[in-house]
Amino acid sequence: MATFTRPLTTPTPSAAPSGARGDAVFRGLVIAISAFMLVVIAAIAVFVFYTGWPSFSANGLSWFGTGDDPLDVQLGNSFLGDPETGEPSTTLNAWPAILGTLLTTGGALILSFPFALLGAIFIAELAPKRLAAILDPIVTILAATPSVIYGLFAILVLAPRIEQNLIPQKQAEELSAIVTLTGANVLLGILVLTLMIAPLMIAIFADALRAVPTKWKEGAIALGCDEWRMTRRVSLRAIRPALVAGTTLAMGRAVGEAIALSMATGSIGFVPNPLDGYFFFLEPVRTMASSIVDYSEGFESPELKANLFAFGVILLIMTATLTIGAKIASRAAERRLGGGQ
Amino acid sequence: MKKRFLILVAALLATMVVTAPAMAVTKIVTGGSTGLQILGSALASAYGKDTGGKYRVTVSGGGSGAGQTGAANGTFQIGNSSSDMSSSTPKGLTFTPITKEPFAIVVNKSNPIKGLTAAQVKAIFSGQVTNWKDVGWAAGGAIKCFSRVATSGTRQSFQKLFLGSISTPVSNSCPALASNALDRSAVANSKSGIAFVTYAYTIGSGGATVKTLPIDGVSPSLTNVVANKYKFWNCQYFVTKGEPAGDVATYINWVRSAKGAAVIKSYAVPFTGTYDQCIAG
Repeated sequence: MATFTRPLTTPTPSAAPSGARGDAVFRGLVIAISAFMLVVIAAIAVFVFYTGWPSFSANGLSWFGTGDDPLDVQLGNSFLGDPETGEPSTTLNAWPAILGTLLTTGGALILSFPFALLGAIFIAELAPKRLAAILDPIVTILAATPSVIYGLFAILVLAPRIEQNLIPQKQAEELSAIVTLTGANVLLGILVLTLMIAPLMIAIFADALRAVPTKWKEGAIALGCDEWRMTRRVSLRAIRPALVAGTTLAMGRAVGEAIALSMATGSIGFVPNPLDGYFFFLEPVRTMASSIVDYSEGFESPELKANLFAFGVILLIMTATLTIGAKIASRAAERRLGGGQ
Repeated sequence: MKKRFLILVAALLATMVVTAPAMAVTKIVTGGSTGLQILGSALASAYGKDTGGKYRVTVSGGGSGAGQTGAANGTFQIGNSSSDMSSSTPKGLTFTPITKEPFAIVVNKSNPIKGLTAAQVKAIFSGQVTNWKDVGWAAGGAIKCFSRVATSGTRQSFQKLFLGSISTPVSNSCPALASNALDRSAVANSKSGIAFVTYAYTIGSGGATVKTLPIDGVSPSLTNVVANKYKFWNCQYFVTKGEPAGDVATYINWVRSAKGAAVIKSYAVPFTGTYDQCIAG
C-alpha cells in the first residue's frame, strides 16, 4: 500500500542522556504489547472455534443447507427444547442467515462502490478547495458514526416510508400468512449498510487519490489528456491497491455489522424468494451477526450457545479470508503498477 | 517521565488497597431481566436509604436468562427473572416472586378497533387470522404482527398467558424483535401493526406512542390486576441459588415487606405469594 505512506518526520534526537536505554525499554515494551495482542487474538479464535464446534459436529455439512424448520424455530428449539421431545435440539441449517449476510453485504457493496468512487474523485480532484475542506471532515464523521445511530435512522425514518410507498396492500395481504412484510427488509438492510460503508470507502479512496504524485498527473495533462481522462488513466490506476483495501475494509464492516442490521432487516430468518420479483428485496432476512445479538440472551443453553458461536466461526473465517485475500490482491495490483511504469 | 508514571501506578494501587476495606458497606450484586431493571434500581436505592447506607445493591441487565444463569454460577447473588422456570433453567434455583406484572397488547394509534378478545389475540399471534377485516377493521389490510425472539422472557410469558402454554410458539410469520422497546416502536411506525409488551411499556410518554387494547373488555392496569379482573399477568422473580440466606434474605424480606411494596406499586403489583401461586395464575 505504497499510496498510504507519508514522509515520516525524523524525530529530533532527545536531549536526555539515557536515550539508548530508553530506546531499548520502548522497543521491549512495543514487542511485549504486540505479542500480547497476538496471543489475545489467537485465544479469541480458539475460544470461538471451541465453543462453536458442537454445532458443526452435530449437523455436519447440512449446517450450511436449508432445513425443514425456519431458522428462528431452530434457534428457538435449541434454547427451549424441541416441542416433540422436550430436549434442547442441536439441529441448525444456517443457510437463511448465511444468505442474509451475503445479500445485505453484496447489495451494499454494489451500491456503494460507484458512489464512493465518484464521491472520492469529486472531493480529491474536482471540488473547490473550500468545499473539499468542508466535505472531508463530514465524510470522516460519517465513517466513524456508531452503527446503532444508522439503525435507529433506518427504523424510525426510512422503514415507515418504505412500508407506505413500496409495499402494496394487496401483496402484503397475499403473503401475510407466510411472512409479515414491513418497512424493515433486505432493501433497508442494503441501504443502511450502504450509508455506513460508503463514507469509509470515500475517505480511503480520497486519501489515496491525493497521494498520487502531482508529476504523474501533470505529465498526463502535458500529453494532452483532459482532466477526466487523466483521472481515469492515471489516478484511478495508481490507486488500485487502495480501492481493494478500502473495499475490503468496508466489506469487513458490513459482514460483521450486527446492531444496525438487527434493527433494519426485518427480524425473520426468512429465505427471500427470487420468484417474487422485486418483492425479493422487500422480504425480511436475519444475518449471522444479528442472529448472535438477537439471541444472545439465551446463552445459558449450551446448544444455542454453540449455534451462535458457530455463526461467529463463519464470520471469523470470512473476515480473515477477506483480509488475506485483499492483501494478496493489492500486492498484485501494486506489482502490476510497478511493472507498467 | 518514568518517575511520574511509577507514582501514578503506585497511587492507583494505593487507592485500590485503601478503599476496599475502608467501605464498611455490604454489596449485594443483582442483575438479569431488563424488565426488572428499572424497578430493581428503585428498590436498591430505597433499601440503601432505609438502611442508612449500610447496603449497596447493584443492578445490571442482560435478560431473564442471564439472571438465572448468573444466580446459578454465582455472578449474581440475586438473579432477576421475568419468566418462570423453563427446561433451560439451571437446577437448584429458588424463585421468590416479588411482583405481578401485566402483559398488554398494543396497536398503532390510528387503529380504530376498541379491543380484542383473548381468543382473537391467540388467533392473530398463532397465524390463523392475518387480516384486520376478520377482527373488526374492514380497511385495515394485512395484520403486521411483531413478536420477540424465542429467548425472550416476555415472549415465553405471552405464550403461557395467551397461546395456552409456554412452549406454544408465536407464528413464525411475525418478525421476532430483540426488545420490548423495538416492538413498541415497530407498532408506532406501522399502521397495521400489533405487538405484545409488558405493562411498563404502556405507560409514560413512550406508552403514549401506541394504543393499548382492552382484552375481553378489561384494560391492562395495576388496579385491574389487583381486583383480579385482568388475568394476563406474570410474576417477576428474585432468583437465588438454594434458599435465600444472610444479607440476601434480609434484602428479599425487605422487598416483600410494606416498605418494598411502597416502591413496587408505581411499577407493578406487589406480590408476596408462593411460586406455585404464580404458576397457577
